[in-house]
Amino acid sequence: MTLDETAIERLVQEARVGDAWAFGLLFDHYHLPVYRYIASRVHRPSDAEDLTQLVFVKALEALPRYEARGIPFGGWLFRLARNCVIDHVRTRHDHLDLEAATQHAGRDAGPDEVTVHRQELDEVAAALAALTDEQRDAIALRFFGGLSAREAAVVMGKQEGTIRGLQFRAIAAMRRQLRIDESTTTGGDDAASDGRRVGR
Amino acid sequence: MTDGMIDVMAGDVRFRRRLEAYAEFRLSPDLATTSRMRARVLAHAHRHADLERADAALTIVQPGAGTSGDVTRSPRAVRRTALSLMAAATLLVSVAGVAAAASGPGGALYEARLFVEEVTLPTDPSERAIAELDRLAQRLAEADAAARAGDHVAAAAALAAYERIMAEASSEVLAANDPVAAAAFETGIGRNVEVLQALIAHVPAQAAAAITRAVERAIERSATAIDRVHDVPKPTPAAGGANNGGSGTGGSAGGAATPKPTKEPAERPEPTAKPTKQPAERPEATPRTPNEPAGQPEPTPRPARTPRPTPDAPQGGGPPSHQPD
Repeated sequence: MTLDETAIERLVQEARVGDAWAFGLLFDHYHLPVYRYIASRVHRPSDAEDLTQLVFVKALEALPRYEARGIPFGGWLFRLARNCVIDHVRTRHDHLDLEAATQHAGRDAGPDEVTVHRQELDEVAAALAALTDEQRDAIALRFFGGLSAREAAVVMGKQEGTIRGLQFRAIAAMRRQLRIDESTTTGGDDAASDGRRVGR
Repeated sequence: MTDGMIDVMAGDVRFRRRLEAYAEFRLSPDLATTSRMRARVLAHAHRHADLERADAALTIVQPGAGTSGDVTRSPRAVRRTALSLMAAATLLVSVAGVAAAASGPGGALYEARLFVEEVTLPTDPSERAIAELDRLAQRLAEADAAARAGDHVAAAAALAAYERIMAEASSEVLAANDPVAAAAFETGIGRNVEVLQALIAHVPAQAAAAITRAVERAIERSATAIDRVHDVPKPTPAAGGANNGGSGTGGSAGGAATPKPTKEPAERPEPTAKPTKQPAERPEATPRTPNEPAGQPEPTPRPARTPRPTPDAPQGGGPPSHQPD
């Protein structure tokens, strides 16, 4: 579902006054990037499902206090998502280490997955797991959540430049681990737009 | 390091494709997961919306709330209100449970329950007729349950309520003179007669006499109601109208009928012999021919009756689909 910022703000206003239908549209718009971000940060898919649900329930309850003062609704929602993930990891000691990533990667191998080389997906999972927590967070927000560097900075409570630095080091580390030759670089794509394409 | 360098690196086609594939196949919820999440979140949203509305209503009711100028309510106050509402709802459910136990047939609140049902009936004639049929079906279910349990008091109460509702409903259908309502009502009552006849077979021996009498009386009243409603013009197909309804022609049901203890519905499509009560002859079941003049004497004359078309009268006077019996 494609919604522009104006439409999202209108839906947010309607949801604030108790319009469940409007909130349903917001869910439809945001559930996939939020789920992807959470799934990239936790161990089990069932946890990703529970946490995604929890994020939207918390958003619903906190909606009366939401004010779009420089923070778009998406950024605000991802901040909730990030806090939920942090709480989850802290309370359950559930973080995505290398072993967990491999286990995570080994689940539900369907025919589609076989066609895109399951081993390559496993390598990506392992490369993500090898990143530092902040690097992984930045990559997840930018590429799986589809946020811009500025939005990711707001969510992580850091400067935009810091996010770009984290992203740079994370990408470099992943490229090394994935053995991607830099000569294949096209140089024509924009990082933010790439991130959005993956996330949405 | 510049943003351009980062963008160039991130723009690496292979790297991007691998992340896209990973997100697509490893980080995407399947349809069932999405449906589950959506259903739960929206259920919460609906509950939240209900609470908001209830909270708003309470805010309006409290007259002193706005006098201090502090219109906004703290989260704690909202939570308190929500908890109060939940407590009230729990209490209401408990009371409703006790009331439900007392509102069974023969119970202290049974009449009150019937009254509530009655005042909440829709006003549209056809919808009202269908709602009345639902009420009648509920009474039959209550009577059946009571009869199976051998509780003849409850069964009698349910059947008495059935008779009263049917008398009121048939009067309403006649007064409304609505063909759809009449057709629905007549068909429904016909089914009820069958249920009542089957009910006699299930009556336990110890309460057989009392319940059987009540059931027979209900069948009798049902047949009477069908007779009364039968002459309201029905929305029947134009072709084959002479055979429509069956019993109205008198050829099948009326002609073959012999004096029986109780009546069977006129519109029954299978007027074959039943193991239980059979219909008595109905005065209006005599065959009518096209040459027969309009205004045959009826057992229950009704002032609002639509005149039947006659060969001499123009056919446009009544509903287009109506055919003479």
